[in-house]
Amino acid sequence: MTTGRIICAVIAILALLVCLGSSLRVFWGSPTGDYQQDFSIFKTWFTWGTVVWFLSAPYWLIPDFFKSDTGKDEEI
Amino acid sequence: MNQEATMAQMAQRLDQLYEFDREPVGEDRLHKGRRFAAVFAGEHVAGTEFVIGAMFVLHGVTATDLLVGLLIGNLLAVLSWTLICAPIATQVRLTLYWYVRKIAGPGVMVIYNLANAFLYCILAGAMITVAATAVGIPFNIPMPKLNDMYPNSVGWVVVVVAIGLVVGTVAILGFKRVSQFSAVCVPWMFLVFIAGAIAVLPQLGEIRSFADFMAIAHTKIWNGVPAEGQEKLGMMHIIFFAWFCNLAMHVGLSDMALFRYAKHWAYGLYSALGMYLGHFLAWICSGIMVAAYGPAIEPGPMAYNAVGVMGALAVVVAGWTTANPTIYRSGLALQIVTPNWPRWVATLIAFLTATFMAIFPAFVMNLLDFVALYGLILMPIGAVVFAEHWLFPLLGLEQYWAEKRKVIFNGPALLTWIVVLLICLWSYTLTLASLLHLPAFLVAGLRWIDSINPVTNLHLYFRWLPGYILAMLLYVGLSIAWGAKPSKGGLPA
Repeated sequence: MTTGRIICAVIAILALLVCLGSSLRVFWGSPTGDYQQDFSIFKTWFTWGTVVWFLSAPYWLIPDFFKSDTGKDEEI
Repeated sequence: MNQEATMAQMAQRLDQLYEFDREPVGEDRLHKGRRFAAVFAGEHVAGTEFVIGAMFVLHGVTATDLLVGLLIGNLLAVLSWTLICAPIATQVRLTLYWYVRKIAGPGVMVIYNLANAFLYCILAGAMITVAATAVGIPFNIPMPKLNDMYPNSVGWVVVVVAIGLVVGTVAILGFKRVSQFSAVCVPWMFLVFIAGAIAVLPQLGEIRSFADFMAIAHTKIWNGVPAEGQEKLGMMHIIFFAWFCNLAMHVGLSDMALFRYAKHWAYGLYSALGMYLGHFLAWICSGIMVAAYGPAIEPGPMAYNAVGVMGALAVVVAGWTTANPTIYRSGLALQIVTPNWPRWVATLIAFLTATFMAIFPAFVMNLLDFVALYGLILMPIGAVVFAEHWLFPLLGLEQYWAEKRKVIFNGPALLTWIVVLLICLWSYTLTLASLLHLPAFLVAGLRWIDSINPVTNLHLYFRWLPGYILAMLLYVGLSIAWGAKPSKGGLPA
C-alpha cells in the first residue's frame, strides 16, 4: 500500500469515527441538555464526515478508481 | 421436437454467456477467507434493510421475539451456507448454472434462468421504490401508505420513472463503476444505520443503562402491537424469515458461484458477518428509526428524520446500488430468449419491467412476502441438486444420468419443481380463480384440493421447509421411476 493510500485510509476512518462519535454525543447528551440542538449538530457533523469519507475512501478502497475506464463490464 | 430445438438453441446462447465459467475453478484461483468476509459484509447491508427492519416493527413483533428470532434464524442461515452450499461448491467448483445444467439438463436451466430474471426485476423494482421515497422528499411528493397497492399521485410515478431511467441507463452503459462505488458505500451505509439509530434513541425516552434500553424496546419500539391492517408476526416467523431471507443463495445454492473459490467448506461461516451485521444490527437499527419516525414504510423520510440529508442520500444510494446489478443480471438472463438482440435491448426490457413494477407500491409494502416467494420458487432446484449430489451416491443411483443421456429436460427435476410449487402455492390459485371469475364448480374443485393440501394451513414463511424435503424425496423417487437405475458394481464414485 502506498503512502497516499495509507493517508487516505486514515482520513476515511477518522471521518467515520467523527460520524459515529457525533451520534454518541447526541445519545449521551451535551452539557447544555438541549437534544434538538445536539441532534442538529450531529446531522451537520455527519454530513461533513460523509463528504470527507467519499473524498478519501475511493483512493483507499479502489486503487484504480480514478484511472481511465477499460470499458469492460464486470462479469457476474 | 421444434420446442426441443428452440430450447437447445436458447441453452446454447446461454452457454456462450457463461462460457468463461464452464471449467471448475483450479487450485491456483482459490481466494483467501478475507475476500469472503468482505463480500458477505458488503452484500447484506443494502436498501432492503431499511424496509425489512421497519416492517418487523409494523408487524407487531415483540423485542424478545425479534432478538431471539434473529439470533437463531441468522444462525440457521449461516449453517445453511456452511453445511449445504459451501460443501457442494468446494467439491465440484462449478457455478450453480453449470451444475444444474449437468443434473437437470439445459432446458430446465433456461426456465430457471428466466424465473430468476423475472424475480430479479421485481426486486430491482422494489429498490427503485425505496430510492423514490428519498428523492420525493424535496418535491413534497405524497408517499404511498402501508396498505397501498397502486400509485397515489402523478408525482410519485414521475419520480419512480426518473429513477428507473437513471438506473437503467447506467445498467446499459455498464455497471463496473457502480459496483466499485457500492464497495465504497458499504462501510458508510452501515454507519448510517448505526448512527441514525443511536441519535434517535433519546427521542423514544431517556436511556442510561441496558435495562433502560430494553424497557424502551419492549414498550416503544417492538411493543407487539401491529400497525392497522398488518398481520402480527411472532418468534417463529422471525426465525424463519431470517433463515429464508437468502434462501435462493444458500439452500437454493446460487452462492455456489462464490464458494467455488473457497479453499474449504468452512468458509461458509464467513456468512455470519453478513448475517449479524446486516440482518441483525441493521434490521434492529431500522426498527429503532421507524419507531422514532412513525408507523409507515417510508425509508427516505425515515432516514432523513434520523440522519438528515445524508440519510436520504443513503437510501437513494442503497436503492440504486442494489437495483443496478440486479437489472444487469436480469438483462443477461433475458438475452437468451431474444434472438440476435444486443444485451442493451435485453437490459432495456428488464429495466422497463422493473420500473413499471416500482410504480406499484404493493411490491415494497409486501416485501416480506415477496422475499418468501422468491426463495420458495427457486428452492426446489436446490433440493434437486442436493439430492443428486449427496443422496444418489448413498442410494447407489447413477449421478448425472440426464447429462449422460443428453436430455434437454430432466423430467423428474422439472416435475419435482412444478409439483412442489403447486403444493406450496396452491392457495394462490383460489385468488387467481376469483380474479379470473372461473366457473363455480372449478372454484369448488380448487377449494377441495386446498382443503386436503397439508401445506395450506402453514404460514407462507414456513412452507419452504416441508417443500424442500418433499422436493428431495420426490426427485429421488421420480428419478428411480424414470430410469436412474442403481449403478452396477457398487456405489458410483
